[in-house]
Amino acid sequence: MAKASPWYRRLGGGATPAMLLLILMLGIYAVYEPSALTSFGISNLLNNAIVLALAATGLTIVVLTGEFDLSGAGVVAICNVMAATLSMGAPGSMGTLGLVLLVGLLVGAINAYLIAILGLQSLAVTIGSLIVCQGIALVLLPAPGGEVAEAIISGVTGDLFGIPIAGIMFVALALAWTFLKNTRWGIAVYAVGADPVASRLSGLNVPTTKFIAFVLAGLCYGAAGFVYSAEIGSGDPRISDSFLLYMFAAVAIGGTSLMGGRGGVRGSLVGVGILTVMQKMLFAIGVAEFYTNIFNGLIMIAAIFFGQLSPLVARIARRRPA
Amino acid sequence: MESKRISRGIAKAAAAALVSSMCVVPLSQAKAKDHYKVFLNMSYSGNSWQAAAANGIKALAATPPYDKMIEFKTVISGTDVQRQISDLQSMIAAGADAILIMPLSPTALNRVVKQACDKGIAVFTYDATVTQPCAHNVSSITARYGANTAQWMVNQMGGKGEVVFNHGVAGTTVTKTYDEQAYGVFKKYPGIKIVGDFYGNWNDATSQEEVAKILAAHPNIDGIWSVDGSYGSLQAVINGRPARLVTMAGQSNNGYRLAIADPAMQAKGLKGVSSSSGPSVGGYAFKLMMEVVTGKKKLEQQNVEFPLPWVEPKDVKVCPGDAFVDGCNTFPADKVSALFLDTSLDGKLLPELSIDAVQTGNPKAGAKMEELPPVKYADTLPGVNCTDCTPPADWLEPNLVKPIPVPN
Repeated sequence: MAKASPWYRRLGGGATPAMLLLILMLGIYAVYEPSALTSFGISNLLNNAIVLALAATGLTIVVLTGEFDLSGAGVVAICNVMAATLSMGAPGSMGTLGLVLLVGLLVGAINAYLIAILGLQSLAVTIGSLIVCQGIALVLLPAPGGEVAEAIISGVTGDLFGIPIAGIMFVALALAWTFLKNTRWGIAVYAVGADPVASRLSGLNVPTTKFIAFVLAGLCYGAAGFVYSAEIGSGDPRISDSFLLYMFAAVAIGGTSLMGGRGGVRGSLVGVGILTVMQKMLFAIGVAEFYTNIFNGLIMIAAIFFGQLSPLVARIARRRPA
Repeated sequence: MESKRISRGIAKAAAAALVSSMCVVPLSQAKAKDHYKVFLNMSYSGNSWQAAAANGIKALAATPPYDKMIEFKTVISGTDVQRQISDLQSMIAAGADAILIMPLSPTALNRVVKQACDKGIAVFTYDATVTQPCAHNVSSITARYGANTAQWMVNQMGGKGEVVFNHGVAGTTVTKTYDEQAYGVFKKYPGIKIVGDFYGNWNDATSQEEVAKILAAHPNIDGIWSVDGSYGSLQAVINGRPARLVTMAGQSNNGYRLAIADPAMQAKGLKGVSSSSGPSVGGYAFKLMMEVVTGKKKLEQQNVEFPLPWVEPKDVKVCPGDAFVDGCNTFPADKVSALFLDTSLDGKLLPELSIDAVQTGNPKAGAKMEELPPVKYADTLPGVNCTDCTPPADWLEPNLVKPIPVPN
C-alpha cells in the first residue's frame, strides 16, 4: 500500500496538522493585519523566526537521538557577545562568523564527549554547560553594549535577488535535513533514538551517532547566535535567557517526540512558524495584556495536541487491519 | 480517503483566505489632531514594580481629557527580546502615534526603534533606556543612585564598618552603573570592608535568604547596600540579630520607610535611606510623552532625568489620606502592604494618581491632567542612553550627599 504522500504532508514533514494550524493562523493574521503580506511584513516575520529556527533545528537533532540539550541558550549568548565585541575589530565579519561557529562546535563537542563517550546524563551535563556558557558571556560583556558590523547586519537581514536571506536560510535548513536524514548517519539517528540497545546489537555505532548529533547542534546554536546578533545589532549577555522554553516548544509542537526516534527538523520549523505567527496574530486580532499569555499557552497546547495527532492516526490505522 | 479529502478542503480554504486577504488594501487612516493611538509595551509583568508603573500609566491615560483623546493599548511582551521586537513591529504596522516602552535591553531594540522613528512615531522609554538616539529616555539611572547612597551610608557609619553588597540582576546596565559608583565610593574609605556580596535580583525573598547566610558567617556586619530587595534584607537582620540593626540604602517599600522612621528601630541602630528608581517614572514618562506629542512641550535633548526619590528618616511623613498631599510620602501600616512601593506615587509630578489608581489602573475620581514643570535633561552615559558619547567627568561621584573626610 505504499503510496506517494500528498504535498501538504511532505511539507510538514510528518507534522501535517501543525502545518494546517500554521496556515490557518497565517490566514487570520493576514486578514486582520493588511500589512502582513507586504514585503515589510513578510521579511519581519522571517527575520523574527529564523533565530529560533536555527536553534530549534539543532535541538531537534539531539532530541531525535533520545537525548536532551539545554546548552543552546548559553551558546547563543556567548556568540552574541562575541559578535558584538569582535566583528568591528580585527576578525571582521567572516572571521567572526568562523569564530562563532567554532565556539558552537567546541561546546557541542564537549557535550558530545561527556554524554556520548563517557555516558553521562545529557540533562545534567547540558544544564552545566548552559550555566558555564552564560557565565562566560557575562565575563566577555558584563553589561549590554558593543556593536555588530554593518556587513553582518545587512548580510543576514537583507535580500538576495529580492528574496529575504532569512527565507533562504529556512529553505536551506529544510533541504539540508532532508539530505542528512537519508544518509547512513541520519537513519542511525532515528534508530538510536527509538531503541539504543537494539541499535547497538544490530551493529550501529551509538556513541558516534550521538557525538555527531551534539556537534551539529552546537554548530546550529552558533549560527543562531550569529544571526541573532545581526538582528539586534549589538550584544546583550542576557539576550537568550528565556529562549530555551521556545526552543523546546517549537520541537514539541513540530511533533518530534521528546523520547527520541520520531519527528524531524521540518516539523520543528513548522513549530517555529506557529510560535512566531502566534505573537503577530494575537496582536493583530487585538488580544491585549495578560490575555496574550493565556492565548499563547492555549495555542501551544492545541498545537502540541495537533502535532501528536498524526502519529496517533497512523498508529490507529496500522492497528486496524490486524 | 475521507480524511484526506477533508484536510485537502481545509488547505484549500486556508489558501483562499490567504489569497483573498492579499487583496485587502490598507485603509489610510486620517490622523486627526484630537485623537492619538498610543501603545504601552511592557516587558516583564507580574512583579509589583512593573504592575504599579503600568497601572499608573493606565490611570493617566483614562484621566480627562486623555480619556477622550487617546486610543490606549497595553501589550505585554514577556522576557524574550525577539517577542518585544515583534510586538514593536506590530505597533508600527498598526499606525501608532506614540509608543512607551519598558525596554528589555538598552541595545537590542535599537533597530526596531529606529524603524518606528522613521515612521514619525514618538518613542519614549521609562526607567530602562535604549541607546538609539531617536528615542527619548525618561529615567533616574543618570541620577547617581549608587554614588549617593553609598556616600550616605559611609557618612552615617563614620567611614568604617563591615558592609554587605546586594547587587541587582547580573548583566544589566543598571546593576553595572550603580555597582561601579557604589564600589568607587566605598573604596575611598579604607575602614569600610565589603564582607559579602550577592545578586539579589531586586527580589525581597532572595535578598532575605542571602543576607541571612552572610549574617551567619559575619555576625558583625554594620551596613547593607542594596538597590531593591531592601525590605527583605532588613527582615533578615531583624530575624537574625534583632538587638542590633544596620545602616542601609535601598528601595521605597512602605514597610521599609516606616521602619527607618520608627524610633524603636532607630534605637537599635537602624539608619536607612529610601531611594532607588520608583514606578512613578512610568506615569511621568507618559505625561511627558503626551505633552510632546500634543505639542505642549518641546524637548531640546533626547534624555530626561526623572528626579531620584530621596527620603531620609527625618523626611518620612505619614499621609492621612489616599494620596501624597502636602509633602507626605508614606502610608500607615494598615493602609497598604509592607512591600507597597511608595514611589508608585509622586505628590508633585503626578497629583492625578491615588493608591487605588496605581493598584487597579482606574483613574482617580475627579482628577484632571495637570501640566508638568520644566524637565531636567539627563547626563549622557555611554551604553546607557547613547553610544558615541562621553559621561560627565564626575559621573562616579555623589551629587546629592557631601562626602565626609576619610578618617585616620
